[in-house]
Amino acid sequence: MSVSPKKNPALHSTRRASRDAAAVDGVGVDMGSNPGRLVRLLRTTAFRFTLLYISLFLFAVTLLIIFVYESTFRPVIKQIDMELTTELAFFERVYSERSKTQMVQQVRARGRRRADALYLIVSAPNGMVLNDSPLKNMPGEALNTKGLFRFTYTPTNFRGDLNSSRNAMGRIGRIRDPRTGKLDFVILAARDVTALNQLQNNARSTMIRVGIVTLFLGLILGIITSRSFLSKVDKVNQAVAAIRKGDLSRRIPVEGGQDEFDGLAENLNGMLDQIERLMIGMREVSDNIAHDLRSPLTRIRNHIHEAMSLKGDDRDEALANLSIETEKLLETFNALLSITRLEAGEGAGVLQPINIIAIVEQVAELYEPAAQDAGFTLTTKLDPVPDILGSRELVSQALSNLLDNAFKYAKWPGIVTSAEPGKIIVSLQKAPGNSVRLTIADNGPGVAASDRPKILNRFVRLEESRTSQGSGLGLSMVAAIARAHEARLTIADGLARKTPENSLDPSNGYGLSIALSFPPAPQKSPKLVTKKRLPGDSEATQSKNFSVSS
Amino acid sequence: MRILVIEDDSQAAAFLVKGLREAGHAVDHALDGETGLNMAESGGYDAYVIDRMLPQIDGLTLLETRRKSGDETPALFLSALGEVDDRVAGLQSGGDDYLVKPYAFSELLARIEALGRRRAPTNVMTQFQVGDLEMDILSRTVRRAGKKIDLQPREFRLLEYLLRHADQVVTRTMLLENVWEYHFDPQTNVIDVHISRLRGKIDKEFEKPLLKTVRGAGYTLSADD
Repeated sequence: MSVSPKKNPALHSTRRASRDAAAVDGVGVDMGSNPGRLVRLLRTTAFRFTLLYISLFLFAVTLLIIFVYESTFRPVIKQIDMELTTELAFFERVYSERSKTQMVQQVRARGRRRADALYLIVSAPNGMVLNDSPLKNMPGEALNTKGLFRFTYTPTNFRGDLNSSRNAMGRIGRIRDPRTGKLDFVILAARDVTALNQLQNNARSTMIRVGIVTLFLGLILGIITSRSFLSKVDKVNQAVAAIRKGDLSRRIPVEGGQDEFDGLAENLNGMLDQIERLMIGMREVSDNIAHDLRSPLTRIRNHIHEAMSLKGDDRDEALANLSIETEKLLETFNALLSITRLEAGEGAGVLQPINIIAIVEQVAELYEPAAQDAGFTLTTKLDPVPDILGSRELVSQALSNLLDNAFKYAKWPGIVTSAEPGKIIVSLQKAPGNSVRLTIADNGPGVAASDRPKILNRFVRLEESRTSQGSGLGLSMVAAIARAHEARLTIADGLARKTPENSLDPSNGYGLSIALSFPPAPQKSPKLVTKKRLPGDSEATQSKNFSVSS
Repeated sequence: MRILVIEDDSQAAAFLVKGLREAGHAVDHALDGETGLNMAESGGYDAYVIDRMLPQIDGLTLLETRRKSGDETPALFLSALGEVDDRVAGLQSGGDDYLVKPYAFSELLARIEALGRRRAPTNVMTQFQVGDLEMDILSRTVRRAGKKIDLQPREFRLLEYLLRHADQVVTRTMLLENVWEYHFDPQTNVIDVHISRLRGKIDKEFEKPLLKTVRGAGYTLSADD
């Protein structure tokens, strides 16, 4: 989906923009040398998170290793210490309870029994070694030592390798003459712990290796995640840069992994859709302004020229025309402004629950005489419907525009006597989803199905009606009001009518109906139809049950 | 009437001042909010015409200030902001009427004269008479030359408004705003048709028409010729 980074020149500038917050316009700026992809990688949030994670992980692993190490070796050493203490106590007891000779014998016997047990018994007065021990003499560490100590020795006999020194742990026992208190013997009881030491060393180096591997794997992982993170961000950046350059149809690729990046991309795309729609709307408006406001301006200019060249009554008439033309232009302009404000989400004011039945009745009452004058019968069919959330003013205006429209376009051109009279029906019904549908249907020439979506656009007047008066904004206003009320606008066939015989297009003989489906007002709010009293308004009561019939 | 116009667009103001003077009013003009406020404080005006967006002190604040100090002079706002909320804000700040730019001068004149007349206590009046046309609000009866005329409720309200503003020009927009309470202009001539129906009831069978069309402006209910 996305372009490879190397092929896309925009990418570098995009990267630069993201690195340098001050660079407002990242597009089209030359990068110079590569900024250092690694540096950028190391700066990513993902990488920083990975580093933090690795540090914490390493710390935890280290703690665990220390714990395992200690709990494995400490008891062994403790065991050795206990054995040695017990043995020394035993020798001392043998010495005090039996005899010197028996003690020496015991020491010798024990020395022979266990390969890893080392003893050295030295006679204190002359320093003579009394037993046959692999230890040649007292290790230096033994002097002035109480408790367990480590030392190395080189075995003197066949036990072990002659050349290598070995590790041992020992304890010193000093045996004194019970009567004189004189130091009699010094006994060293020790264990060969070379194997244990080896094991400890191995364990330690394994642990260090594990640590290094963890660190290394973590770094690799960090780089990989950062790169995928970066590539996702880069795709967003690329798309945004392209959009800023003017490619409004460009969208951020969605990977389909349903992750937060997809969520972000979808959100951004939604926003872009909205922006694009608005931009297209703006473009449409400016195009339309160019087309449809230029012609009245041209007419105005012509009227001015005409007025300048005329005198007396002719001049007055030209000026009157000018005034009318200007008035129309201002109206168009105002309508356009209102639509724009409505579409931008302003101008609707606060929507509140309104009694749409009363609103329709009032507008119908206002229009009924005019309908009769225009040769229509205006009928209302108002079902009891719930209140809707809306603005009385705007809903009234929408209905008014639709009626204006019907008056203008529901007439048959060159009507013949056999045709039925013009008919307009305004109805209110409950629609699916508890919504309220307001329908204005006529039995005029209707609009071909293919033209129907077009008629809501600004300034659109179908070719047949180009000649008639009007700004072409009436239905756009209705559509904008519908959107402001979250109402659905539908265009359908209207009322059936016998096609006049001289009609050019009998297929459209079914009139037009435009329906607005308003969502119902939230139930909890009380019915609230506030009627503003304007200054100068009397307190005269208003007709409540006025109904218009044909 | 003595009118104070507070409008920062000097060209629009000149046009306005000239038109109002030609209509026989004494007009003072201020170009910004502060000057306008000072002039209003000096007193003696029958009506204010205030642009909503003014340099230094905006129109709403200016009028609120005057109203707080007890100034009851009727005021009309001129504004390019014409949505419902804008109107409500204008009326809440103490304005008596609200006219959206661009406006026709005839519309403005009719409204200012309606404002000036407001000072007369027509609001509490229950009986009106123009020529031989009489209306009694309480009994809801209308008579012309002693003959009872049946009106539909809306026709009654329409006539009532015209009577309250007798001898003044009343525009179609004023009728729409005050009798029907709509602030948009329908493209169809709905008001004209209502007026012609009313005329059919109160004028048709009588020699002298009372409800007259003022060309290019609106209607007036008057016994004068």
